[in-house]
Amino acid sequence: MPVYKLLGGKVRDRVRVYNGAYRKPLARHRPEDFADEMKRMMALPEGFTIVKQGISFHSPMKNEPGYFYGEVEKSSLHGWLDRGPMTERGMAYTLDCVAAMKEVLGDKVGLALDCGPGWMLPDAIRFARAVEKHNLMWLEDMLTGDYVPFVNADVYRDLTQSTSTPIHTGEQIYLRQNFKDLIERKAVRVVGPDPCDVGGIAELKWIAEYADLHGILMAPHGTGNGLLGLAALVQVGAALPHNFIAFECPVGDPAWWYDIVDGLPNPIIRNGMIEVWDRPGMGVELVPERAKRYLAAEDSAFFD
Amino acid sequence: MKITDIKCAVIANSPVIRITTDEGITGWSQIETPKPYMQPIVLQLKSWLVGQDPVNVERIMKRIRVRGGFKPFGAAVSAIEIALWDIAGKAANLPIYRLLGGKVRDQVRTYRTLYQHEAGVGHTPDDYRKWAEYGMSLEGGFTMFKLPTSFHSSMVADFPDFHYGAVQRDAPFPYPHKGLMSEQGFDHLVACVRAAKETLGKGYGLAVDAGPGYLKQDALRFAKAVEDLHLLWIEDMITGDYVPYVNADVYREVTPHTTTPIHTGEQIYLRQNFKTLIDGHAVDVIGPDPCDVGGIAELKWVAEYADLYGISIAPHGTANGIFGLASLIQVCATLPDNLIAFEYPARFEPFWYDITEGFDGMPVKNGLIDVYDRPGLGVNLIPAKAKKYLSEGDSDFFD
Repeated sequence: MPVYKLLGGKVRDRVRVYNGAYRKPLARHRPEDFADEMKRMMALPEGFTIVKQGISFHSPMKNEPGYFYGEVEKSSLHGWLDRGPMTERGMAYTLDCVAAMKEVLGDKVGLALDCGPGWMLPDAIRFARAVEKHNLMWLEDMLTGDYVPFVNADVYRDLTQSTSTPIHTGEQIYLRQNFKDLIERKAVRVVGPDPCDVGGIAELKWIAEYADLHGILMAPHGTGNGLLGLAALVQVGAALPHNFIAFECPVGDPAWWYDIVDGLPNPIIRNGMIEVWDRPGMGVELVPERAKRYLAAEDSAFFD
Repeated sequence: MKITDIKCAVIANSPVIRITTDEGITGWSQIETPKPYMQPIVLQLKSWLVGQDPVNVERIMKRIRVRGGFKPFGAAVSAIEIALWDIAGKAANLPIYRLLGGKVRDQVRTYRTLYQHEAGVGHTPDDYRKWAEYGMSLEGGFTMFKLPTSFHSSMVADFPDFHYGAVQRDAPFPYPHKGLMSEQGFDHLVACVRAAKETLGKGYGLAVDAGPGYLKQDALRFAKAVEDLHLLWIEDMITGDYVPYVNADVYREVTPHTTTPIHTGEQIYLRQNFKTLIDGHAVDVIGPDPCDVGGIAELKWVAEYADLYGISIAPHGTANGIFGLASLIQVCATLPDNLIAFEYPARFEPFWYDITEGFDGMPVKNGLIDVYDRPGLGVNLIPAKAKKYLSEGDSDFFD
């Protein structure tokens, strides 16, 4: 029996995914570079209907001189390391990049932006209002998010209540209890738990239903979950209520992952959707004969 | 100054941290005794630390704070913070309390958690009387004791039908039970606590460590039933030790309805996760642990934040070892007047006094500890004496 049947059964035959991982880091971060990236993503054979782009504090844009009034940590990592008030120039530059992306995507492909964390609340409000005309899917993790060991739901509530642009967070949050303030107080419009961090797929489903009760949407995180994580996302995505938007589709990285995992459809994604399969369990298996050669010496007993 | 290395050795089940610098100053600290599995989690932070200037403690904390979480996962970051303060104090030739804003008291009060197995007793009223007598006979003249009981003890298994749930005898965790208490179980609990307090009399304070595991209605019923005993507090009834969330709103449904002070917070990592407890007035006393909350500067900030809301602080520390004792003394010397007392880290073996220099034996007199002026934490491992306690895998700890 497929896992989705143990979760209460599927409510859809195809699960929508969004593109957060079928890409490479941008070499430069001018508006035209973002526009080119959108063209490239639109041309992908997967036919994504929603794409997510990292900008601002969730990208090297923060390192550009005069982007914000703070000292740059010069770390490759995001996650609360760089925070600060944005300069007027930094704000205008970020808005230009968004306009350039929307000009390419039009109303054909939805655009979500991964933004932080790092924003101060007044800048976040100003930005969310300024992009209202673009009808974005959501703005993600502006205030807290990736690797931030707390939520600060009350600050998100101020942001969310101030704008019609949907505000999203939650990839780093563990367990339903830590979503309480976000959901009960309607502090965001979209939550994005990751099945590989929230406490598993049943936990993610419970949270999706809890969010639905409060008019909050669900777009699970998954960029680094690999192909086994992809299978888990398909199984749980098939069972989520109608507040489900799409999950972030992981990739096999390095590409040899596609050779050592059996069970995925080929192609995996058609028209931005994945067909739900009926094989037992997660429906994917590591193939020991092909996978063995990629094991580190100390892991050589893995398949014994 | 630059950090050259960070090492972690497990000594008597307790991870000890050693940070070395290019100026020859060494920083020490320690993680709670039952957490030997934190050793690799400390070591994986090495690349984030080496090359940094250890005296800019907050600058380093900005880098590594994101790599922690609720107990046990905040322990590595917290212990590193304490070792950095040790270095910063030694570099300035000042005790840590001077770097935290100075001491506001010359003596710090400490309370003693006394486990039933130490006193050789079980969970009857008679046992609790013996427990109290044993406590009063202990060296140190403690003026406050904490009593583990009900869901925070084997009472759940020892008293028949204590609660309406299955007794778990093979749980991997000491406090796995949660559920509605039976009326007999409830009456037994109240009789036991009453016996302990009546034996101690008014000259001693009694705190009760009770959970987690209570349903809200039992928590309120219990707090009200013991109101006349003038307890210091009841701890962790709803959430607490190793619980990866707070549920402050549930505490809020108990705390305002009883005069018995309600306490929680030992497992909580960082100030932000105290927000709903503190600005929601959800408890009367918080109990962050310097070795789990994110370090001693974080604990001080949280204490001042609590003071703003009329909330007291009684820091946790039962298993923090001799270095944890030193950090609790240093930080508690600087806390505002909402400090009640810190939990004495009684759970370390006497040999720790032999392998360190700093303490001349157990430092508690009349329930108080004199704040000392040695630089840094004021406790150092003596390699020549400590070496024999290293396991084979840790033999290069002092190199």
